[in-house]
Amino acid sequence: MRRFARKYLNSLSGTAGLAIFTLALLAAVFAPLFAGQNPYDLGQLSILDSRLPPGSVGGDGQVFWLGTDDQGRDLVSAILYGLRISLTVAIVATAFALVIGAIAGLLAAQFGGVVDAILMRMVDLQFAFPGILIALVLLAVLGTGLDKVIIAIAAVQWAYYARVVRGSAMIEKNKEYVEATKVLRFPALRVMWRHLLPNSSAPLMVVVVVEMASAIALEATLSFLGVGLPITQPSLGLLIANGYGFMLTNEYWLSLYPGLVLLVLLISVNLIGERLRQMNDVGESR
Amino acid sequence: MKQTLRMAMMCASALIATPIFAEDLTIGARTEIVMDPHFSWSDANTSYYVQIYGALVHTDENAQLIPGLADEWKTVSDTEWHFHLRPDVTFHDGSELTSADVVASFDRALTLPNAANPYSGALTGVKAVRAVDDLTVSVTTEKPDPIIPYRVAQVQIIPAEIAETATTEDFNAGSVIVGSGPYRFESYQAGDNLVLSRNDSYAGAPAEWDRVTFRFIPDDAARVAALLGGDVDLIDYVPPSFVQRLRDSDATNVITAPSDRVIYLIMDTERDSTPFVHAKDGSELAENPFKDPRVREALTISIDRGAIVDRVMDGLAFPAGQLTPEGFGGFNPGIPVPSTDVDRARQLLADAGYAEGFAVTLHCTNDRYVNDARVCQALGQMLSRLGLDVDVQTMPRSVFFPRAADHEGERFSLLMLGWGSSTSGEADALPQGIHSYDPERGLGIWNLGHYSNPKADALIEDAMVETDIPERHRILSEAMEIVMEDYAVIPLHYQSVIVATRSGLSYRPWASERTIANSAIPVSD
Amino acid sequence: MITFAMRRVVQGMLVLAVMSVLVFLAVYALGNPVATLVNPASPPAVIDQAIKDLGLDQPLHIQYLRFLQGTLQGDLGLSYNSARPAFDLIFERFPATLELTTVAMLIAVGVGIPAGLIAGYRPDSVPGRMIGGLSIVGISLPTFWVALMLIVVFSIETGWFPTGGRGEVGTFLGIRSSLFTLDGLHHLALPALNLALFPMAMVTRLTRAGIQENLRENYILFARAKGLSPSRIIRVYLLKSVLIPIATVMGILFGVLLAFGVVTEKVFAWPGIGKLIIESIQTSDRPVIVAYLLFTVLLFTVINLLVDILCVLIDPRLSIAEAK
Repeated sequence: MRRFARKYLNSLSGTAGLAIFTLALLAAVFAPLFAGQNPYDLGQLSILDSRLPPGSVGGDGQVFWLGTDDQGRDLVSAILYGLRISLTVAIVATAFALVIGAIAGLLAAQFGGVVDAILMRMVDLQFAFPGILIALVLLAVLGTGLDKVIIAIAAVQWAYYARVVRGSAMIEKNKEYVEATKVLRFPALRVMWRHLLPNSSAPLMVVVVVEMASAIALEATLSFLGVGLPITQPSLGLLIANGYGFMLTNEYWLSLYPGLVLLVLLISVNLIGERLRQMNDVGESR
Repeated sequence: MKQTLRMAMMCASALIATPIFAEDLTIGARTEIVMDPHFSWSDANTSYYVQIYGALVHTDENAQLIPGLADEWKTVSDTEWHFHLRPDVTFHDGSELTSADVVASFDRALTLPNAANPYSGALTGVKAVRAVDDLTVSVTTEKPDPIIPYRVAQVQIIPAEIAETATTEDFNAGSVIVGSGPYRFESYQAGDNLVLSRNDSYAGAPAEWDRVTFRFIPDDAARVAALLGGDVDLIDYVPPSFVQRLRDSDATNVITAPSDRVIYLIMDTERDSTPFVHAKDGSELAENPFKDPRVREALTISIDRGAIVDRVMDGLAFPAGQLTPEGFGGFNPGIPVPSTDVDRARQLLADAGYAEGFAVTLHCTNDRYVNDARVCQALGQMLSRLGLDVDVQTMPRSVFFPRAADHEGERFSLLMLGWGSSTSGEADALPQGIHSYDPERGLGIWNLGHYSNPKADALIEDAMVETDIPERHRILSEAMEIVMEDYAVIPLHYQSVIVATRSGLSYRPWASERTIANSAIPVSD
Repeated sequence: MITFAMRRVVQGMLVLAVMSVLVFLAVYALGNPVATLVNPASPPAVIDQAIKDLGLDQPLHIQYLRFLQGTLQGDLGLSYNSARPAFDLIFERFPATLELTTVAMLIAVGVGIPAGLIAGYRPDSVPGRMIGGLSIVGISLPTFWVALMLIVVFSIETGWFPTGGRGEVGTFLGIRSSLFTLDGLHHLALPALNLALFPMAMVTRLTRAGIQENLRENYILFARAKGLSPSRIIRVYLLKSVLIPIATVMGILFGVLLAFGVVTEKVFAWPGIGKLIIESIQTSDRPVIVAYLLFTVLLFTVINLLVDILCVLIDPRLSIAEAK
C-alpha cells in the first residue's frame, strides 16, 4: 500500500489532482463550517440580496465575496454546498453503475452464449437511447430528487461499463494464459476475478474517469433542461444552469465561479484517473 | 494560405451580414405555427392566423373588438346573432368571400378529427352557424351569451371548397393555405421558419412589409442572441433578465407593456386534510389551515410583491391585487394591491392557531410563465420568513398540469398559476377559476383549490347571462371584490409583454402577447 | 459471418419489440396529455370529447394494441401540437441532425485519432503533454455552457458566425443538405464544433490509451527494436489493434452525440430531432415522443449491428468466440 502511494505521488499532475480532489472533498464534507449561510434554507435568503456582484455587502451586513445568485444565495456558500451534491451524485451513481456494469460485462464475457446474448441485448437496449433521454423520461416519471437523479444516472451508465468490460475481457479471454486456466479447469469465478477483471481495468479506468465526469455533466444538463434536482438545493450544475440566463447580461459571476469550480473538480478527478491508468500500464508491462 | 482562408471567412461573413432590404422583416418567434388553422386552439396559433386568414371579428392590441370580415354585428334575439360580411373581401386565390365560406369554416373548426385541443372549446354554447343570405351569417346559442363576438373571433375563415375537402395534411403540405389576411403564405419549413408575403389585394389597411419571415427559436437565450447577432429584426417573449442588456445596446430597442396575464397562488380550501400540508414535525394537522381566511390573509400580506417585481422580474411586472388587469371587464379599481406586513401576518397566523407555523409544499411550473421557478423560490423565502416550512417543487408543465388539473386526483395544496383575459376581454378567471367546481355547467374548471363562495357564484352566474356589457362588467367587479376580500386566491403580479427590435424599428405590443408583423413599424432613430 | 449477422438481426427485432412495450409504458406513465395541451378556457365536455377522440379513455392494453397496429402500418398518429404525422416530423428533421452529428463525428475522429496517436506514441513530448492536458479539459466542459460561450464570443461579440438556425439548404446529387451552401456551412460551424468537443476528447483519450497499451506488447517492442520507422509501426501494427475499441466506441459515440445533440440543437435552434424531442416532452406530444424513441431504437440497433460486424472484420477471432 505504501509502495503504491509512493509510486502514485511520483507524478506531479497525479499528485496535484489528488490534492485538489482531497481539498474539494474536505470542503464538501465540512461545508456547513465554512459557509456563511445555509443556502438551502429559504428562510436565510433574501431576494433583496439577489444578483449582487462579488464583494458586495448584503442586507444583514454579510460580505458576499463571490457575489450572490438570482435568489440572493451567497455564492461561496452555494458553491460549497453544491460541491457536496455534485460529488454525492457523481460518486454514488458511478459506484452503482460500475458495480452493475462490471458484473454484467464479466458474466457476458465469461459465459458467452445465452447469458452474453441477453446481457448484450440489454446493453443494446440501453444504447438504443441517448442517455439524456432515458434520464429525461425516467425523471419525468419519477419526479425530482437526489435519489432519483442517482438512479437515473446509474441506469444510463451501467451499460458503458458492461460493454467495455466485456470488450476487453473478450480479447483477454482468447489470450493463451486464459485459455490455459480453462485447460487447467480453474473455476469460472476465479478466472473472472483474478484474470479477466484486472486485465479489463486499464480501459475500465479511463471509462470510469470519463463517466464520472459525464455523470456530473449529465446531472448539470438535466438541471439545465428543467428536470432533476430540486431547484432550492442547487448542485454545481444547477448553479451554472441558473446562471446561464445571466451570461448575456454581464452578470457573469452567477455561472462563472460555479463553472470554474466544477471544471477544476472534473480536471482533478481526471488527473487522478490518468495517473492510475499510467501505473496500471506500467504494471502490465512487467 | 492563411491569408486566403481569412479572406474567404470575411467574404462569408460579408455575405451573411448584408443588410436585409427595409421591406423585409425577420422575426425570431418563440412558438411555431400549427399549419391547420382549425386544429389547435391557442393564442400562439391565432397570432399567426390573423395575419394570413381572418375571422368575422378581430380584436385589437388591448383585446377590444374591432370589425374583421364582418363590418357589423347585432343580436336579433337573446340567443341569436347576425354578422354582416364586408362585401369587398377576396381570398388570396381571387374568390370572393360569402356566408357559405363562413359556415363551412365553422363546420370544419367544430368537427376536425384528431384534435387534442379542438376549437369546439372556443365555441362552447354555440348551437348553429348558418347563412341567412350571401353576406349575413347567423349564430345561435343555447343560452344568452354576450361574449359571442369574442368566440367567433377565434375561428379563421377559409374558402368553402377548401374547408369541405382539405385535410390537416393538405395544410401541412402548404397546398391549401388560402385566407384573406394581409399576408399570403409563401413557404414553411417545419421546425425552422414560415415565410409570408404581402397581399396586395387586402381589403383592410395594407401590409407593412413585402416579406415576413418567422424563425422559430424556442430557446430564450438563443432568441436574444439571434437579435444581438443581427440575424433577426425582432424577437418576442424576451426574458426580463435580458432587457437591460438589450437596452444598453445601441443596436436594439426594447418595447414593454402590461400583458393580460395575472400570476396568482391557489390554495386548497376544500378538503379537511390536504395532502401537502403538515405540522412541522411531519404529523397530521387537525384541519386544513387554508380553510381559515385568516391564514389565507396571512399568506397574502406576507408576500413582498415589490421585491418580486424588482428583483425577480427586473421591474418588468406589475403588483396585482385581483385577477384581471386594468382595462379588462371586471377590473375593480377599488381593490388595493395588498401591502406587505409580516408582523401582522404572523399575528393572524397565531390567531388562527398556527403560531408555530406549519409545513407546506408549493408547486410551480418551471417552463410556463415568465421566471416561474424563480418567482416560486422567492415566494418560498417569503413564506419561510412568515414561519412556515416551505418545500418548493418546480416541474415542467407536462408534469405539472396533468397533476394539478385532475379534479379526481390528488391535487396540490398550494400552487402557482397564470391566467390571461384576452380571449374574452374580461375577467373570465372568475367563472373559470373562482366559481365553484361544476363540470356539468362548465364552471370552475380551473378552480384547482375548489374554492367555493355561494355569494360570488350567484353574481358570476348572473354576469354570464347579462348581455348589457357595462352591467355585466359591474357585476363581475362586484364578484371580484367579494372573493378578494375573502382571500380566495393570492394575486401576485401581472406579467409584461416584452418585445425587442433592432434599432430603426418600433413595435405596438399586444396585451395577449401576439407577435404581429404589421405592428412592427420602421422608425428613424 | 452471415449466420452471425442473421442472428443479430433477429435479436435486434426482439429488442425492438421489447422496446415498443417499454416506450409505450414510459410515455403512458407521463400522464394525460390533453391536460397540458388543451386551451384552459375549454369546457370539460370538450376535453372529454378530445380524450375520447384520441382513444385515451381506453384501457392500457387496448391502447397498446391500437398503437402496435398503427406502428406496423407506419402510422403513429398526428402530432398533438403540429397536426403532422409523427413519423413525417422525424424523417423531415433527421437529415439536419444527421448532418450535424456526422460533421461533429468527423471533426472528433479527424482531430481525435491523430492527436491520440501523437499523445500515445510520444506521451512525454511537449505536444503529447499538451494533448493530454487539453483532452482532460475537453471532457470536463459542460456542453450547454460551452454552447453559450461560443455564441457569446463568436456570434455576439465578434459577429463571425450566426447565432443559430440551419441556414440555406442546397441540393447535390439529390441530397438536400446545408453542407452544400456557404450559408449552410456558416450556420453549421458553431453547433458542430460544440457537439464535437466532448467526443473529440474521448476519441483522443481512447486512442492514446490503446496505443500506450499496445506499445508494450512484445511484437511492437520487437518491431521497434528491429528499427522500423514509427510511422510504419503505427500504420501497420498499432492502428489495427487500436481500431477495435475505437470502432466499439464509435457506436457509443454516436449515441453520445445524439444525446448531447439534444442540448446543442436546443441552444443553437438547430431544427433537428433533438430540438423536436425536447419540445415534445415539454408539451406531452405523445405520438412524437413515441415515434422519436422507436426511431432511435431502430437506428441504434442498426448501428450496433454494424459495429459488431466491423469488429469481426477487423479481428476475426471475435467471430470465432461469438460462434462458440
